[in-house]
Amino acid sequence: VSSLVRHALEQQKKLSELSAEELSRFSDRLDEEYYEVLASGSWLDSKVSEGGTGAARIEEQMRRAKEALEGIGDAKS
Amino acid sequence: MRWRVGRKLPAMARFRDPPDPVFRSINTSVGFDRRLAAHDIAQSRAHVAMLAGTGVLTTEEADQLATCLEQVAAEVSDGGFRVSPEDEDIHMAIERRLTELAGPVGGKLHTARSRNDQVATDMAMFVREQATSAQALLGELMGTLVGQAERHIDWAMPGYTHLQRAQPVYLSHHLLAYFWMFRRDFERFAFCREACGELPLGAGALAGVNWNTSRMQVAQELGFESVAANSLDAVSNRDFVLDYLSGASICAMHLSRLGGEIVLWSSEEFGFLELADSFSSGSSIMPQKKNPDAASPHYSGCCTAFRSPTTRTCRRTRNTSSTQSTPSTSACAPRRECSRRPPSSGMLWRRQLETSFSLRPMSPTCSCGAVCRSGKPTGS
Repeated sequence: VSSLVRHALEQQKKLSELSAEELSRFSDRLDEEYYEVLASGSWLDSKVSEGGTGAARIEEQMRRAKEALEGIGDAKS
Repeated sequence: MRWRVGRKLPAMARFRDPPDPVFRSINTSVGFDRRLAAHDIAQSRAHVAMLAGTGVLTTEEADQLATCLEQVAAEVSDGGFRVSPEDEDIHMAIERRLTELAGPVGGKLHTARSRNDQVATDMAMFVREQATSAQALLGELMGTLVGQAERHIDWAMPGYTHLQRAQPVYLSHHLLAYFWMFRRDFERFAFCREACGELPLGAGALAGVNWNTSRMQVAQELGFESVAANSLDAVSNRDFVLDYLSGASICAMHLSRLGGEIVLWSSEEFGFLELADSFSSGSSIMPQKKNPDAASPHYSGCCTAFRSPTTRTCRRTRNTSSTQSTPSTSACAPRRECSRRPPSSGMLWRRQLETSFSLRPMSPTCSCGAVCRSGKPTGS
């Protein structure tokens, strides 16, 4: 992968702009999925671990934050 | 009647010579402990009620003292209270004024207490009040952060390490990081309030007093949980001040991080957010600038984040940019009396976040460069 990144930098291309032919020079495992991963927001939502930035985890965190905020309201009064 | 200049106070009558003016200026604390005045009067009020309840004062004496204390309180709150040059500290100033109003019975206020337990009590009340106020401000700020996180729940942005784009995160995630920092700060101030919970008053100078006073009555009146168990510890304990300073320093550091990011993000180079006009300043010779002054840590005064609301001195600084050729004035700005009470920084931060956090949508092609192409609200 690092050679792929170096190649992209040398070619002044974004990773998603590399052609299938270029990809094949670095790996025989990179197929269409490579473009899917780069083209979507899946990088963010792949962070599925607790406390991570994935959308589901943020919703969870948001709930906890609101609970904490309510707790604070109780503590102040 | 006021103390005449040069008159020896009763406690000083054992000395033949009057205090040297230099010594007096070193020894006086009234310049800064005057902010304890309201607490000092409140504890005197409770003390008088207790002395009457335990028979140390007659009801008439207590009533007279209470009435005159109210008058002193009114003078303090309307700014008419005058400190005499002989007043070493605020306790002495208030008692002196009380005696002017009440006559000799005023001296009885000091029965069964000392300035040692008195100042420790004032400090505990003052710190507790400040910690409570900091908690209220933090609560508002945390509410604002949750609201902004909710509004930007799926806005993608680059996350950085070493200021290098590392991995994408949601803006909501980034903002909530601050929420948890401020929650810890909130807890630290809660601990600080607990640490102020034992009443020192009644410990006397250090060994207790000659009356079997009802300290718990005073404690309940003043909102203390209990009474300090050891008179020596009671008069010397200022741990809670350090607890407060520690909590305030850590909180100021968190505010400073947030401010630093607002400055960075509103720069042309980052362009992540544009501050509201109402929280920006300009420059007549550099009209392209929109300065995030209020977010700059050295402007917004993270070091005074929880400035006492009763403090009327403020620092004015201008042009503290590190790139200017003249020396920065931030560290040595003259203190000057300010007729307007400066807004607390806590409030400033909340208002700024509320009004200014209109983030620019990220360019669809550049949020995370080569790695992430999702640089726009993913929901749209």
